[in-house]
Parts: sequence; structure tokens; C-alpha cells
Amino acid sequence: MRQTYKNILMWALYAALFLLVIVLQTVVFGHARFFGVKLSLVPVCIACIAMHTGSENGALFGLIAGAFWMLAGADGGVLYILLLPVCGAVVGYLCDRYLNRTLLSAFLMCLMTLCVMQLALFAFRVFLGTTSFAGILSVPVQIGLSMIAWPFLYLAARIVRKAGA
Amino acid sequence: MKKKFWSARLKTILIVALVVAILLGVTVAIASGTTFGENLAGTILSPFRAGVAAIDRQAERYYNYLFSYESLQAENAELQKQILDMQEDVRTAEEYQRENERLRTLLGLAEEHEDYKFVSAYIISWESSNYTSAFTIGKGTNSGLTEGMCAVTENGQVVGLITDVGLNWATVTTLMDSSLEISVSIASSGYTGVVQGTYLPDNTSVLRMNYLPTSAVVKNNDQVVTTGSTLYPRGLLLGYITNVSLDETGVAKYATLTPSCDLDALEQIFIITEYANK
Repeated sequence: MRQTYKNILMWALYAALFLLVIVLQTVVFGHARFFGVKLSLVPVCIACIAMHTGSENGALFGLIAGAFWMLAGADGGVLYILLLPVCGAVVGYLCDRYLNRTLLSAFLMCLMTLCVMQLALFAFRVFLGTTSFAGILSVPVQIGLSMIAWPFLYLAARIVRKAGA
Repeated sequence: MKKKFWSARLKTILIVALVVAILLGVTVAIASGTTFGENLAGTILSPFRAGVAAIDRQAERYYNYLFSYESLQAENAELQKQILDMQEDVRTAEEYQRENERLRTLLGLAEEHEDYKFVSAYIISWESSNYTSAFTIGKGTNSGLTEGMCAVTENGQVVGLITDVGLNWATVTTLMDSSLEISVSIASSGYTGVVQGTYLPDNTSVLRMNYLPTSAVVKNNDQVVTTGSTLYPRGLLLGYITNVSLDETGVAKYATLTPSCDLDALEQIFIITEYANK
């Protein structure tokens, strides 16, 4: 009974963390461009959460988060529904089997997730013709800047995980 | 035994993800207006966004007060100089009566167009993508807003159109977005065309007025205004011409514009909910 309550609390806190990231991304950093790009914090958040929840739960959280993010008006929303569960599953699996849950592992996992998401989004935009291939240079800048959030989100996800342990 | 990656549960989740993506993608693409899911997500997020946006605005004001005092003083001096220049312009108003009348038509929106009804709204969040230009406001169908309504500044400068609307929120796609096309004309010469936002490889965007005739004689800083449609009234200021060239086909000209309003500095906008389409 106590463990069930802790699990519910943990998932509620993960949902609140995700909601906070969405609000920060769209309200506080939404109109600011740094070196010509906007921050992309959602993939970092999903990677940090999936690290602590494992592959299956990470995929499930990625699916729900991706659907909500798309419905909230995210650009390239369908891609988020498809790729966030995959990224969540891979990150969770790698952390279960091969990596310790450390800040360095979180760095690698967030970087991998951001690369997959931002390159897929860029390719999607090139395919639609709304940007040209020359804009590829902005992708590493966006990934680099978005990585600034990694330690904070990793620590937040770790604290939430401990609350549910 | 070590856990395998492709567990039955994971396969189920990924198949569900694929199905959900297809279903939502198709639903959003074919649905006219806002879907139930979008409305629900927007309604849940709207109070949080409004709250954080209010805190963000207040924090920015304090920051500007604390750290930008000198620049504000310089800006204040510049504005005072501009006021003096404008007062001088007023003294010579008779000489510039015709130009003045045109500017009053464009700028004195509320006085000149008593048929306009406005709903004011604060911006509560911005689209976080590099490839779109849109923001969310904290009012929706409960304030009488519907899709397609035109958003302007207090000076009557076009900001964009409402493209999505929920109960207590609405998305305004700005004129810098490539998905928006607005029929316009050049105020001084009457040449008509279509303005569309275009993203450049360096992640900046410009406004481009297409379909100008090759014979068009256009000057820099000419004002570009809306021609009017079922979505927006005529005569709203959209931007100023900065450059004119032949387009890729060579049979028409295009002009690049700077928008008349500073989109990055917007806090509050006004939605034209009613107007007489004269």
C-alpha cells in the first residue's frame, strides 16, 4: 500500500517536472533566441526521467509526454510521439544494462536524445521545404545550448526517483 | 538473467506510439478548427502559462530597472528628442496635410474606424521552434475569439492571425511565419501582392512581398498595408519596403519588408473581433 502511494507520488512529480519544463520552454525562453536558436528542453527532460525509470516505463512516459506536447502545439508534434518513446526506451535500457546512473551518463544520454530529436525535426522541416539544408549549422548550436539544462533536470529526476523508492 | 531490450511490453508501447502518432496526425490534419485533445492540453497549460508569464514580465521589469537604468535614460532622451521633432512636424501640419491624413488613416485606428471592436490580450507563451513564429494569448472562445481573427498592436500594425483557439487560450501565428499569406498593397502606389514570411538559413526571417509586376516602381520605406479580406480589414499597416528584386522566375518582382511592429517586444496585443468590410 505504501509502495503504491510512493509510486503514484513519483509519477505525479515526474508529470509536474515535465509540465514545468514545457512552461519554462514556451513562456520564459519561448521568445528568446540565443545565437539565433531557441532552447529545446523537452528531450533533455525525457532522457533524465527515462534514466531513472527503465526502458518500459521510460517509453510509456515518452509516449504520454509526446502526445501531450504535440497537443500543446509543439512544432513537428507527430515526431515527438514517435521518437520520445524510442529515446525513452533506449536510454532506460542503456542505463539498466550498461551505464551507472551518474551525471556523466546523463550527459551522454541527454546529448544522444537531443541529437536524435533535433536532427529528425530538422530533416522533417527540410522535407517540408520550410528550411534549407544550410540551416543544419543551427542544430549543433541548439543542442549545445539545450544541454545547459542537463544537470538541473538530472538532479530533479533523481530526487523524484528517491521520493518514489 | 539480463533483461532483453525487445520485451513484449515495450513492443506494445512502441506500436501504440505509432498508432497514436498516425491517429493524432491525421485528426489534426483533417479536423477543421481545434481538436478536443488540443483544447484540453491548452486549457490545462493556460493557467500555468499565464501565471509564469506574469512573473516573467514582472521579473523583466525589475531586471530592466536594476540593470538597464542608463540605457533607459538614453532611450528616454532619444524619445524626448523624437517628441520635439514630432511637435515641429505638427506645426507644419498644413504643409504636409495629405501625408498626415494618410498616416492618421493608418495610425488613428480606433478614431478612424469606429466599426472596429477590439479584445485585448496578453501574450502568455511563445512557440519554441526555430522554424515557426507563433505565440499563445490568454484569451479564447470565452472572450469571443474565433479562428482567423486579426491581431494588431495598439497602433494598428498587423501582428498576425489567430490560427487555433481554445476555451481560454488562442494561438496567433505571426506574419513572419511562412504558413501565413496576407494580401497587401503599397500605400503610395497601389501595387498589390502577397506577403509571406521566409526563413533564411541563418535562422533569421524576413517578410517577402511576392507577385509585384516587373514594371512596378517601388521606393524604399514605402508603407505596405493590407488590402482587406474576410479575415482582416483593409488599410492596416504591415511593414516597410527595404529592397526590391526580380524573383526566381524573372517575370515578376518581389520586395523584402521590415515589419512595422517589433514582434520581440510585444507584451499585449489587440484582436479585431468585428469590423465593417467596406
